[in-house]
Amino acid sequence: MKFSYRRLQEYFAEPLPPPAELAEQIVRHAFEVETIESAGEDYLLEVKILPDRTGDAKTELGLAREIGSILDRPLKDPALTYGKNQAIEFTTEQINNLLGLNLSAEEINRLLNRAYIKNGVPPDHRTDLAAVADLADEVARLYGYDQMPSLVAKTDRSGDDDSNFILTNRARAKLAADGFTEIYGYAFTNRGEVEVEQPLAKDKKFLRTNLTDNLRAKVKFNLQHRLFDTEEVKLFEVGTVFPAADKEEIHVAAARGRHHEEPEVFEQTLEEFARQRHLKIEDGNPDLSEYRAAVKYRPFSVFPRIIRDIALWVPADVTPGQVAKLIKQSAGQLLVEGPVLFDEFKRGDKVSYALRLVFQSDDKTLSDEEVNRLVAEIIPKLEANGWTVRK
Amino acid sequence: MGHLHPLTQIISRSVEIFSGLGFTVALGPEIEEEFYNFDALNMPPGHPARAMQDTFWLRRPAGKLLRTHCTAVSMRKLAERHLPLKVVSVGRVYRNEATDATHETQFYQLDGLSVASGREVTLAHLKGALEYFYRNLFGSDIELRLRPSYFPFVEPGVEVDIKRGDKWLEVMGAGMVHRQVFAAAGLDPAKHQGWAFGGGLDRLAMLYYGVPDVRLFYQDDRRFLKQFSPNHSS
Repeated sequence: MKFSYRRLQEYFAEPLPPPAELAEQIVRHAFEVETIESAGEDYLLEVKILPDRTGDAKTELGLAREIGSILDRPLKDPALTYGKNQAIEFTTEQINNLLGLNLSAEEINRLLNRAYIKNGVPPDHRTDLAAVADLADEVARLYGYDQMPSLVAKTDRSGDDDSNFILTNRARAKLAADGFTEIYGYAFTNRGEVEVEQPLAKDKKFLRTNLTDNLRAKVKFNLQHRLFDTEEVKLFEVGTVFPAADKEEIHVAAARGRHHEEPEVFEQTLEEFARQRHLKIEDGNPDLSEYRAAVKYRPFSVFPRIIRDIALWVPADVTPGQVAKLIKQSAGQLLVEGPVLFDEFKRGDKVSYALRLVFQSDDKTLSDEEVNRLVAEIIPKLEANGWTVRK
Repeated sequence: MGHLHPLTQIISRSVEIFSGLGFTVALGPEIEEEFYNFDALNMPPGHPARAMQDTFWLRRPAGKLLRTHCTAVSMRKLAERHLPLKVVSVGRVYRNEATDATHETQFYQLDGLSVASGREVTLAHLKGALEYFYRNLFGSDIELRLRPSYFPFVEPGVEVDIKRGDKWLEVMGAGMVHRQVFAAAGLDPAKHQGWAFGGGLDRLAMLYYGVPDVRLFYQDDRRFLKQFSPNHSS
């Protein structure tokens, strides 16, 4: 809801802080302020009144009262009435115990008074206050969450992790170690046994009954981006399926396939997989840190890529890494993948390497000519080392 | 070596941090009862907060739904009444809303609950635990802010923001367990105290890795997934 800064000001004898500063105080102590717009001589504050405060704070007077509480500043006329609300009984200890503070009775009373609560009696406009926790909320927010201490309680774990959590993670580690890449598929699909009301689309009415339909399709999808025809795509998923009405199971499934081949798949319940692969609950949740990466994601291009191969003879003591490094240095920004070594053989004191390069732009479709030019610039730099590029 | 999905990685890291504070991991069903998802969490039928959750109800049986938050799992644990309790739940939740770069019909949540006797589980402990979590995840210089908010199942309730660049971003809802929630679990609200939090893991992973679109997590595209490998280069 939008509030005029000037109109709010009229409720106070003293000048309010500037709009941005006022907004900051409102956010920290009461409500989110989504935007501040300037409107001629005035400013409009878009304030998101919380659902439990729509009864009192959705008016100018209501928000002005709240600002009075936050800034500890009197309104010219707060128009307070009492009598409809009963006193909420509380002790200083109760409030402090809930918040983790050590406020005195006076301090608590002072904060509650700022919210117009007198001896535990809320003013008539506050119909949302009924219990000690509600008073503690007023104390906490007017005191300020920034002022509140941070207490950390470390204890020993009193039990074990859920056995399915342990087994799903053990299954994941196993399949990743076997070279499979994990996917998280969509639960909604076009056929199944469990149907939802008001689906988002006609083909998303049901919950999946298996993981393999999607895995099979995604192996084929990912093969479109293969670098070599011999490349194998290996995917797995550990997830919930809904095989019968009101029934859910955790399944483990994997699929692997190459170009022009039907993917090979398996799917089992978590229990079956765990039994077959000797995963044990008593071993506890596995340490997956060796699979974790703190990387910065780099968006991949949606434009077509162009692949080029470079093959060359070099002295036998030159490693493929040295060649790849020089190519990478010379190729520029449009080389997005590779050089990937895909062939090598020795003859006498020389070795032949074949490397594959992928060129792609983030903002356009590259032409063959552009890429040919890029490759033509790399070759002299390789030849400058006395290496023979095979043409 | 293959790779683990970035959401698996963020779950693994998050759980490890909370394990360090003494939490254990709980899981629960994705098809949930109205009671655990709503009623017990102080959202009886007709409560406006229900409408805000865009629930997928099942066609059959009536009254069953796809959980809208992992707080339902926390509620199940609380209802077991094995105290003191220190659990985090992780899992997939569902919301019936149009998808865009920041919204998905399915996403993952991390929900935490700590219940013990009064002075051990205060709002100041909640603040401390969340600071501990975000500092361990993002580095000790991360700025965190609690500000007042409203959720039916906590009182006081707060929203948790972290600062990225010069912007504050909402990452969690949290607060002190509401007396009605204790009552629904069959526990005397006068004798029990606890704090709880819940937040989206997809959003956390987006911030952690700099992923601009949540839908990328569910497109099963190796060009995306292979980047989250410890030995990925390029």
